[in-house]
Amino acid sequence: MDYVVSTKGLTKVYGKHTAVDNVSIHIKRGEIYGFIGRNGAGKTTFMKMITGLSAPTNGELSLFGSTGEAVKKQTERVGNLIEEPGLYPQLTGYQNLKCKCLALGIHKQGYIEELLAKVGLETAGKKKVKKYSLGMRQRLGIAMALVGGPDLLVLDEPINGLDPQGIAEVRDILLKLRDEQNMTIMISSHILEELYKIADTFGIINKGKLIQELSKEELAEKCSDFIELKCDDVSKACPVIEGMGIKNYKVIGNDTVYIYEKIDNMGSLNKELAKADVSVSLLNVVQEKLENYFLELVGGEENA
Amino acid sequence: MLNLIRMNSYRTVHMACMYVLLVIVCIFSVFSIATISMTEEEIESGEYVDYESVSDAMEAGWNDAAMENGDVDSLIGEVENEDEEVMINLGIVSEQPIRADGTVTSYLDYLYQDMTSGILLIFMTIAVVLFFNREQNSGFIKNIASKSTSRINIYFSKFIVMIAYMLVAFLVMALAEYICLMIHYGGDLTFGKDVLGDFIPKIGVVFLLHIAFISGVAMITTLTKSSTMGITIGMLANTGFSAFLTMPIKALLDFDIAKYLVTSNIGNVNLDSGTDVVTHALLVGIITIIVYNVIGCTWFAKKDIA
Repeated sequence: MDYVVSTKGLTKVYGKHTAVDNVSIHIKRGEIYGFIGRNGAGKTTFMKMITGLSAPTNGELSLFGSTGEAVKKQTERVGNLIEEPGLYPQLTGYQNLKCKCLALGIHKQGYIEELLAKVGLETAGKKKVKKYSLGMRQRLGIAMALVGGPDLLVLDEPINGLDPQGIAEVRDILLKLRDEQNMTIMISSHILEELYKIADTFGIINKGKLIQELSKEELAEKCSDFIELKCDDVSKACPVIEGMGIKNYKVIGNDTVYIYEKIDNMGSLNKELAKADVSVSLLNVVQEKLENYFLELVGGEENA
Repeated sequence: MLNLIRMNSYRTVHMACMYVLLVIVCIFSVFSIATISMTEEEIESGEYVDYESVSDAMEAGWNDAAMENGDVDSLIGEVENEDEEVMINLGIVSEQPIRADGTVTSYLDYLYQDMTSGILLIFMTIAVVLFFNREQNSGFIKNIASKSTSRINIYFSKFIVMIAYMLVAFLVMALAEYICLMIHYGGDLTFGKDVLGDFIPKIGVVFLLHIAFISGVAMITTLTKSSTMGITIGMLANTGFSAFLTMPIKALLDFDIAKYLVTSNIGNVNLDSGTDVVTHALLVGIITIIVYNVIGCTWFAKKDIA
C-alpha cells in the first residue's frame, strides 16, 4: 500500500505527561484523513510531529516512504495549519503570503492573487491581518498552508470560527485539492458531521492513544440505524426481545431499549410485546449520530 | 538561506516599529548635539564644572591635602585650570570629544564618541527582541519551520538581517549627526580626514562588538521567548549593571571578568587606543559572537516549535 504517512508507536512525552502514546496510523495517498479527538487528546501534538515542528520521543515516522533523518527533507512537501494560523497581524494578507513565498523562493507573477482567490480573500488581500475576522484568518491560514503546492496538507481545526457558508467553501476547496491535485489531507475538527462529509478514513484518538482507525464505510456501518423501544416495563420486554432471537440490544433507563439488530417485521415485535402485557409507547427506527458513536467510544459519560 | 534572508528583509521593511526606532535614533543624535551646544555655552559663561574629572582626580589621589580637608572647590578650580585634561561630560548620551593635543574636534570624532557611548545598543536591544520574538509569538515560524531542512538557517537569517538593520541605524545616526553639526558649526566643522586612518579600523572593531552584543540579546530572546526578559537584560548590560556581578567575582577570585565583557570593551576602544587594546576587543567580539550564536542556534534547532 502507498502510504504518505505511516507511524509506528509514535510517542511524545512532556516531562511526566505522555501527550501521544504509541500511535500507529496510516494515511494513503490522495485521501482525506479525519482525525477525531477531544481537546487535549493529543491531535495537535501528533500533527506537530508529522510536520516536523516537534520531535517524537519514541517511535517511527515514515513520510512519503522516507524514514529516519531523510524525513526532515520530506517535511518540505508538507503544508500545515496547526492551532491558530501563524500570521503577522501588522502585515496585510498579501504581505503574509509574500513572506512565505520569499522564504520558499517562489517569485511567480500572480501566484499570491491566485491563492487569495482560492480561499475567497481576493478582495481582502490589502487589509491588515489584525483587522481580519476569525474566519478570514482561518482562510488565510489555509492559503499559507497551500503555498508551494504541498503534497500533504495537515490542517488542525481549519473550520474553527467559520460560518456555515465558510465551512461549505472550505469543504469544497479541500475536495477540489484532493480530486484535482491528488493532494493528501489530514484534518482534525470538532464538527464531526462536517468531517464525516469529506473524510475517507478516520482515526479516533483519546488520551494520547489511537482507539480506532476505520474507513468511511466501516464508520457508516458502526453508526447504522437502531430501533428505539419505549415501554412501561423493561423487565417484561427483555424476555420477549430475546425470545425473538435478538441478542444485540441495550437497556437505557427504566423504560427504553435500543435494539441494534435489523428486524424485518416491526409489527410482529409489537404484537409479541402486547401478548406479554407490555404497553408500548414508542417503536421507532433511529439513525445514530457520529457524535454519539464517538462519545461512546471515548467514554462520553465522563463528559456528562 | 538566501530566501530566508529575503523574507526577513521584507518583514523588516514592513515593520513600522523598525522605522520608529530609526526616528528615535535620529532624535537622540539631535539631542546629543544640542547638549554639546548647551555645554559650550556653559563653558563660555564660566559656569561649567566637570565633576567626572574631579572624581578621577580624587581617585588618583591628586591633591591629597585638599581631599583630606574636603576642599572640593579647590579641586574644581584645579580641574578647570587643566585645559588639556578636560573631558566634557554630556551625561548619558555622549562626551564632547576633545583631542589630547587640544585641536578642534571633527565630525568623525563626534561620531566615534557617540558610537562608543552605547546609545545604538539600547535601540538595537529593542529591535532584536521585537524582531526575534514576533516570529515566535505570531506563530509565523510554524509556516517555515517545517519547510526548512535546517532551523539554523532560520536563526542565522534573522541575525544577518539584524546586522544589516544595525548598519542602517548607524548610517542614519551618522547622517543625522552630520546634519546637526553642520547646522551648529557651519563652516567651522571639519570632517576629520586626519583621523580617518584610525577611525575606519576602530569603528570596525566597535561595530563587531555591537554585533557581539546583539548576538547575546538574540540568544536570550530565543532561550526565554520573553520580550521583557530580553529587553531588561539587554538594557541592564548596556547601563553598567554588569559591574554588580563583575565586582564580587573580582574581589573573590581576583579575576577581572569585566575585561572580557563586550560593553566594557566598547568603552575601552578609543581613537587613540593602542594595538593591544584593539586586538583584545577584537578577540572578545569574535569569541562572544561564536559562543552566543552556537548556544542560540543549538537551542533553536533542538527545541519544539510551540
